[in-house]
Amino acid sequence: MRLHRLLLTVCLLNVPAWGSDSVVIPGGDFQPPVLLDREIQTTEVEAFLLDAAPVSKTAFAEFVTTHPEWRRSAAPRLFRDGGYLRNWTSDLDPGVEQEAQGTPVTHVSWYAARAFCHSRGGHLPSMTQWEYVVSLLREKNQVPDDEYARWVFGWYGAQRPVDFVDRALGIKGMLGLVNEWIEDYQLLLSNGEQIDFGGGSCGDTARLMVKYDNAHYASFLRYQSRSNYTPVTTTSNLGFRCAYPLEGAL
Amino acid sequence: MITVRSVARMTGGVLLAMFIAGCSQTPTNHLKDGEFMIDGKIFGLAEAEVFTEDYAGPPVVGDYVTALPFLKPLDYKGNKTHEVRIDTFSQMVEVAPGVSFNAWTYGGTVPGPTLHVREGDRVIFTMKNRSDEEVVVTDPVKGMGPFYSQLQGNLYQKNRPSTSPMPHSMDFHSGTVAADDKWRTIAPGETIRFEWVANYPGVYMYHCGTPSVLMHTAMGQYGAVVVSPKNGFPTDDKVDHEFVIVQSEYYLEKAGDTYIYNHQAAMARDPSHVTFNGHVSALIDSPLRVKEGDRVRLYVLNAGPSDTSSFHVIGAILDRVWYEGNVENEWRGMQTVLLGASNSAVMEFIVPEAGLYKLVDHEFADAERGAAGTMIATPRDR
Amino acid sequence: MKIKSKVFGLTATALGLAFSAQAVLAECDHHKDHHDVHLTEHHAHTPVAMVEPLSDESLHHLPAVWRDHRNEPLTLSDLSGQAVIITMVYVGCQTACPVLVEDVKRLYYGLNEAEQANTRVLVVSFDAKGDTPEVLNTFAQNLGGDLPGWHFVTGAEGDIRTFSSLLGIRYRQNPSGGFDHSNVIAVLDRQGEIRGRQEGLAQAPDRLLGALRGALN
Repeated sequence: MRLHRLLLTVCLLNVPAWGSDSVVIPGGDFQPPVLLDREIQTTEVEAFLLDAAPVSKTAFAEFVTTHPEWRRSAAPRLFRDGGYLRNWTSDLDPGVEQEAQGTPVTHVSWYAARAFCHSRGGHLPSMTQWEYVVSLLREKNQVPDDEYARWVFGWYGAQRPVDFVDRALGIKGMLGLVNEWIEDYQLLLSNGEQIDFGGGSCGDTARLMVKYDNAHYASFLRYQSRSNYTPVTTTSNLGFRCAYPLEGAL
Repeated sequence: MITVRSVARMTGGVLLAMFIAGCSQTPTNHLKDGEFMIDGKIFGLAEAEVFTEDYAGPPVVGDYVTALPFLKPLDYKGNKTHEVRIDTFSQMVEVAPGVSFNAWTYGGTVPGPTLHVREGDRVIFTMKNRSDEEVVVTDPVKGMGPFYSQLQGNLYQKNRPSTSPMPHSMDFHSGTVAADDKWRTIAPGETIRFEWVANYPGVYMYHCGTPSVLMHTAMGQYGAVVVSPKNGFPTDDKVDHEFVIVQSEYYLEKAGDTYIYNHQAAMARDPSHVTFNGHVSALIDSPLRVKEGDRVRLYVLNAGPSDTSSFHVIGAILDRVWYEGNVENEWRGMQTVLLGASNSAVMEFIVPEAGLYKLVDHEFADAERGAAGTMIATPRDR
Repeated sequence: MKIKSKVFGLTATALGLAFSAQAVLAECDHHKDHHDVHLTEHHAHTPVAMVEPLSDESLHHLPAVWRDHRNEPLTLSDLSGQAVIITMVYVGCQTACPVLVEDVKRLYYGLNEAEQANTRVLVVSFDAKGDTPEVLNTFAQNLGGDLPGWHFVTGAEGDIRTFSSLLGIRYRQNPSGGFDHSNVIAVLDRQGEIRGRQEGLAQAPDRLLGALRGALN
């Protein structure tokens, strides 16, 4: 299979650390659920590699060990708020003894997440890449739209974990595990000459919706909430995963 | 320290005492540097500041900030500057027996605290987004205003801390400002501080204006501000009791052993519960207590988010009604007062005789979903 | 209408923080033994000798190496000790960007000569691909911005996004290839902290001028 050959190549070359933990996302067309421009857009997404799971606390601990400038005692406030790695027991110890291996790292700023991905030879997924994967997960696992909407509203409203196992791509998380940083998370919607930085103010969302069904509202909530983070924001449920260009692997 | 989001306009601390144009009032309104006055009202307020702070103290601070259904009387003359803090954070609240959900709150209750000021007062408002923090509102707090003792005296929502990190904002309908500045959204961990001047009297809604505004309000982010007219209402010295009632809808569905927000129901305006003061039994388990012959004044706000209310007191006639709480908008002899979402009124009636009075939304589908309360009248001394 | 546009994964570039050894030491003494570990080829740049430790909020922390319209390399820490006027534009922009540059000029010429001598101007392009130093040179000349201490710069895509995020500037490449962006002028003080920031075009320069004078004195 092509995918196996790809990963094999990766391992043989012994290039960045992503290797077998990443998944090939096949290219395809993607229609964003939010109107980023006046017209409904269909975007062609190139195939890329994506971490199968959010970056773990253990992996992030390795990163700060080799990159001391990103330890919580060293990283300047310019690049993170006061909550950065707050739940760790020390500079290098995420305190995961009691937790399962692979617990996603949270309390990380956008700057820190980007630095991590860069150190792995990758980058944060773009909004298009990340949302495209969500659309693939829904489509390939035949998730009913209302079920998807309930997951999203339950997750954002009450941090209700989503009981969903992806059997198509082998992706873990993305819906209802942790929220994830993406490269271009801030919305900037253009509508002719007018540029709307907030992405719709109070009650003013209809003009930004491709469709008015429950699933589109759910997706809009994610776009909008994410857009309101600042790059230094850290929260207890905000982590990330990395993406990598496919050509880099070949 | 100035951050990207908080380049505060330097005011220099200069206060200019200004007389209200064309009016013989006392010089109570002060213009700060950069502000201007039209028709005695103050505009052009300083830019909001957004910053981070280590504050972990009481989330509600203010001498004139109360828990429902109480209103703190204005025991000062003329105008005053109020320093008010109402933080936003999550809280498990009960809205009906056995029905609790992870609410997004101001101050830990749904609806949030009530602020009382006088027309012409200035409010310096601070709000920290503590949605990623477990904030306890049931521990005793001293010296921060009446809110905590009132809340803890009747914990009908069984408030318990919870977290759900979300961006939030604060929109005071009582303020006249540029919304993209003062009402802007802040991320978890950020604090916003801004001022507004109570230019117009009324009973106003405040709420979160962050999209989806339907979800944010339905999740519990709203409350009332009462701006009393600078010369009062004509009946002020006859009123025996004042109560605040906020009507609102919940759109909840069962998920496991708890309840979550149902966006589809909210879009269809099909509430699971409609309440006075946030719980179907709030004004039944703790009825309003009065005496026959008393003049009762209600400050009623319909917070919505989407439904109307036909507010009615069974057995009484509302002999004076000031629509939106403005003394200029006086109605007489009303049986019901129709309030759209975010409409309000000050309503007065005389308690006819000892007995039990029901307060209802006379749109009975709403009353059947919980929009009802009780007032008990005891005999007067004869 | 359906528009098809190609979107590549964003090519990330040097984002690892390369602090100067002094800065790291100032933050935390026990990193002494590691202070050069992170200086890999990814974020190699001209090391800057700093007299004072960087403040927590200084933009001089940013390791990005820019290239200006004279084809000279430039890092933010090169501007240490001077006030900086910053804006972000792109050359293909017909409407807002020339106005932004005009606004910057008005601000700059509001200063006296001694103040100008201690002020640098940094105009950063959104368009990493199109705005080469040569293109920026023509742009600067056309707008009368090819002045001493003025730098119209380009850099790696990831650095442009980092820089814009530090200034609270949002931007996005639109399907027609241009950039939608917020119009911001910011002022840095001699230590690299943001002292003033203004959104919108053709605004009265008084407030930023005040911030600039505050930054200089």
